[in-house]
Amino acid sequence: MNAFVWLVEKDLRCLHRAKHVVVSTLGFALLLEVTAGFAFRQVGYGQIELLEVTPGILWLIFLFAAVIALNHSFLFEHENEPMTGLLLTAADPGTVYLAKCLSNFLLVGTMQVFTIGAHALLFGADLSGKILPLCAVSLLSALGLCAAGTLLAAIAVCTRGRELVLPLTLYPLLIPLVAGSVYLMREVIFEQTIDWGGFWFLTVLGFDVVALVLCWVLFEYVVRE
Amino acid sequence: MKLQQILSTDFLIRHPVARVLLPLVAAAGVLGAMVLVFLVVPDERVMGAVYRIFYFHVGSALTAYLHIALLLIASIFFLATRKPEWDLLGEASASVGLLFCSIVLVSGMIWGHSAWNVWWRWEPRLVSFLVLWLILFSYTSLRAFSAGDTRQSNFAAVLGILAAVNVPIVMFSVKLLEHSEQLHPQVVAQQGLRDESYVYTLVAATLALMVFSLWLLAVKTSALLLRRQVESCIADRQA
Repeated sequence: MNAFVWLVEKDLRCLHRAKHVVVSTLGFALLLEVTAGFAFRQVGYGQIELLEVTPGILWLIFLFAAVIALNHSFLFEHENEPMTGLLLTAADPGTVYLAKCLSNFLLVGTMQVFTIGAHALLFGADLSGKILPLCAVSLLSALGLCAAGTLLAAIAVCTRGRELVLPLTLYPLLIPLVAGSVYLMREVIFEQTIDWGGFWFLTVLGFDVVALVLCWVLFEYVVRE
Repeated sequence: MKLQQILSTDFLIRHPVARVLLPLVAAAGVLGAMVLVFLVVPDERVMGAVYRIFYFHVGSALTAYLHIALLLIASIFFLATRKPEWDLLGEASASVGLLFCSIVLVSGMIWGHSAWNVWWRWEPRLVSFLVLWLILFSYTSLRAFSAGDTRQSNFAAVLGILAAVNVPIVMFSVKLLEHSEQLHPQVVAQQGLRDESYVYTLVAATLALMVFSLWLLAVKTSALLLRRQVESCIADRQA
């Protein structure tokens, strides 16, 4: 437990020092938000249409911006080779993975909450009273995204063209999560409620659990020779 | 016979079973299936002759599933045993699986153009197979991008497990997207194979495609084996 807390602290300290990662992730999300706003207003979408496309737009931004954040998560370890050092400490690979996953979750979750706020402010779709449940659904999905994304980022950072490898391997795996999350967001926007025992909620929750457990087990094989 | 003996150049390239018997059985099977599909089974009442693509379409889909199962088994056993044969089998089965996924998509599009008058519809089962194709494509891309890294086999095995576990989740979840969009025929579920000849032709075509895919698997594995041998020779000379 001490090792876990120490590793999360280390990652957050690294993020604090490399503020450009946080700023560029949030800035990129904002850029996408403004671009989407321009594109959909240009074709004359009204209030209802803007609300209808909101879950899809939010997820496109989440996916693109999350890749920016995840791609940086192992860059420090890769460039300075401290992964070997980390693995020689008392921390086992599973703990290193969980700590990295949590720090990624904090960064991606912040980006998602920021994006939903920016969307409510800039996109023109009326999200009053729906922002908190939208954030809850997004954070629930962020867990699965970061679980799979952390493992694949550890792989991608060792390959040529890592900027391409991470989205190429991550996006197809996330399809069930995105489908479920988009459906739940639709429920929040149009029905102002979530079916907590419904199929899509269980899909998202199940994806989170399966991804977290499977990636936690497999991480050892990625970092060890 | 052990896996190590099967996945060796001695067996795959020189042994008569892999060199002569397997391709002969595969060719005879595919030829026999074509005779059944084009000459024996009657036309379907509504679709006419175009429905015959169904036998290759369904057979290819089942063959693709077979190779994804092989990918999963090979990936798990590679991580557990570290034997390079499992890694070879994983890489080869992913390539053959990708090929059969492509056949499913192309044959589905040809049928769809005849039945729906469009090449592609956002139909849940079509989308789920496209996702499956993308997953296998990402696996083969990762192989290409990590070539030369000592941990390439580990990375590929990890992604192979993630991909194979994700396949049933994708197939199940995408089917529930929108019920109004479920246009794909549910032939077996709705007991559409009423004539006996439909059933045995489907079984024969599926078996023939599976044997054909095993021959392709043997060819791909022997090509990978030879490439690795050449690479290790070059590395030895440079050293």
